[in-house]
Amino acid sequence: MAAVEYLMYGFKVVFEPANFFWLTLGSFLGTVIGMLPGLGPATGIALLLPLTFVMKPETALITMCAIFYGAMFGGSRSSILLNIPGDGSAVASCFDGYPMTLKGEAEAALAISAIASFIGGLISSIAFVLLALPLARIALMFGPPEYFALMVLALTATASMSEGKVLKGLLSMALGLIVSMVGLDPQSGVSRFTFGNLELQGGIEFVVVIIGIYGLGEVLKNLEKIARSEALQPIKKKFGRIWISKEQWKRSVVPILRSTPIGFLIGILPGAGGTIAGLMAYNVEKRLSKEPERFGKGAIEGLAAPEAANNACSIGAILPTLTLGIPGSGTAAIMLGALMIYGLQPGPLLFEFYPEIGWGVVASFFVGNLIAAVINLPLAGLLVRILAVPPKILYPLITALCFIGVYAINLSVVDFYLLIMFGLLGYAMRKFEIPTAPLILASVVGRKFEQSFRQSLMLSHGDFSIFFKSAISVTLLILAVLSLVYPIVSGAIKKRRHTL
Amino acid sequence: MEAKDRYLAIIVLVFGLVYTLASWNLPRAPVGNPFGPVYFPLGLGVLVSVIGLLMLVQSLRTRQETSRKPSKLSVRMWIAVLFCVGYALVFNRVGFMISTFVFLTSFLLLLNGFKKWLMSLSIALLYTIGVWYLFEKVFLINLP
Repeated sequence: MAAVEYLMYGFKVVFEPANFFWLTLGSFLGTVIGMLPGLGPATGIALLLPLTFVMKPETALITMCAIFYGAMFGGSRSSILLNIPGDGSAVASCFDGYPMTLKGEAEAALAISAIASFIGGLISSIAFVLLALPLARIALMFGPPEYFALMVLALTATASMSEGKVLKGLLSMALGLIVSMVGLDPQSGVSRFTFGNLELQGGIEFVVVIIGIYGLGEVLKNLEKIARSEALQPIKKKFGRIWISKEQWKRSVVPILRSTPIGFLIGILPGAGGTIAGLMAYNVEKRLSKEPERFGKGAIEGLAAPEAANNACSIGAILPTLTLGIPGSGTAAIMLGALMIYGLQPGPLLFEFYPEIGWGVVASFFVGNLIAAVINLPLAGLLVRILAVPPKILYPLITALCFIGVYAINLSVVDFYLLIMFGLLGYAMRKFEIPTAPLILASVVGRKFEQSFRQSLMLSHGDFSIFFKSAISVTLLILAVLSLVYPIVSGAIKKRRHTL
Repeated sequence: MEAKDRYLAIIVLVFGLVYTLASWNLPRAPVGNPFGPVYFPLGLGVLVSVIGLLMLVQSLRTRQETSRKPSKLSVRMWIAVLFCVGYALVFNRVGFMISTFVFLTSFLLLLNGFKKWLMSLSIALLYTIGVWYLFEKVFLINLP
């Protein structure tokens, strides 16, 4: 099989010393960032993005992916030990993870979460290898109208998945597109919304948007929180052997295998991220369980399921990013943006023209998951000490890092003001409960989205019916409409049931 | 539905209308379809206005809760934002080392109180030197 040969080549790339070094460091940093409450993989990648510009593109991508799933491993540490999810996708891990700690089974909880994450990651990596080439081949049939329709679907799905707040999701998406409109229009040279500022002519650097919203915005929002809860909870720091018993393994193995495909599929779909994957896996297990009353009281399978699912989800999200150029989640959108900064066109040709990047990244999933598991099993006791670093010290340091990272991109102070603006925007969005993922996604694909729209119209000499001529684009557009209508209809049905 | 959602709806609606107007006033393309660069922003402006309108209708239909007073805690957030603006203002003038050190020290003091000034000073100093070394020597990015 061709895919296996390519994969072997990928492994060769991964084991080059520089790549292997960054893969290890990335998994480690990701674990640490994931553990810290309030900071997730998106923030981690955003903060480290400027550093990756000095690397080769494949090294940079490998590092970013490592941070991504490292954070998935790490996020559950604070869920289990403190009942505070380290990031959104570790929410479901609190339900049974923390009760296990209370029962004195913290060791088993930490162990099963790393094991489940590892197995989930491994199986999804295999699925990734099998699906990458076929999906890339389908994408080769896409012209501008199909790409336009695909992006419409990705954007509307992301907006409508925003936990029942469709309007706010759409608003966030529109804001992202508005950000991407700033600068010289590549087709006509007309300058749009630059307010006479020369620095804005090249458009707003999307790294600034990301560091602003996920870095500075996150810090600003958290500044209010840390003032409220002065005293930190004491954390268990001494552990016995971090491993599980045979009986616990028997309970967990089937849930892990069931949750992995759930997570992987949710990851591929645009919009739904690790949080939904974890919650869905948890609910499925609870429904299928013969003793659902054990859930929420420290059932090990209730921890294993979401852990496997959120790791599978993170790898699933990278699949459409690399093969179609359409990111499956906010974090994947950041990676897509990074690819574009390196001057690479994500999509079907990436695997053909730059096999060291495409296959190197895929191979790094296997190795990186193993490294993350190794970091998380024996070193868990050591790592949780980081949770004891008070946020009062951490947040100023992160803020400074945001500024320096932004400076490193353009060596311009104008970006500082943009950073503060986006930081405040991110803060306001969290205050008003507007989801941020659609904005990030839209600001990354915005320019391409508009270009595909206008290229299509040029092909058809201004005839809008071109968007409805191919079966692919019609299907995608219908799905987009359904993704918008479904939450409204299902919400109305739920309401009616309540009133009856 | 909280009162803040009504404010949000009004802000969104006004922003949408202003953006629509600004899009209409964009320069036309000198070559090709003159409306080429206008379509997309114009559509976005209309979309945002419609979203704002729908949000307003939604918030008017539901009874609003009494608004809470702004918390004192957000004062600290705004002071931090002021520090950031100040940092941006002086960064090029006094250079990376001094501005970052002062910025970090004041930010740390803001959160930890003056009692722990020694700790704040030493963390700020170490971090500034560490970052400087990393960027200047390892990544070869020149800082002012």
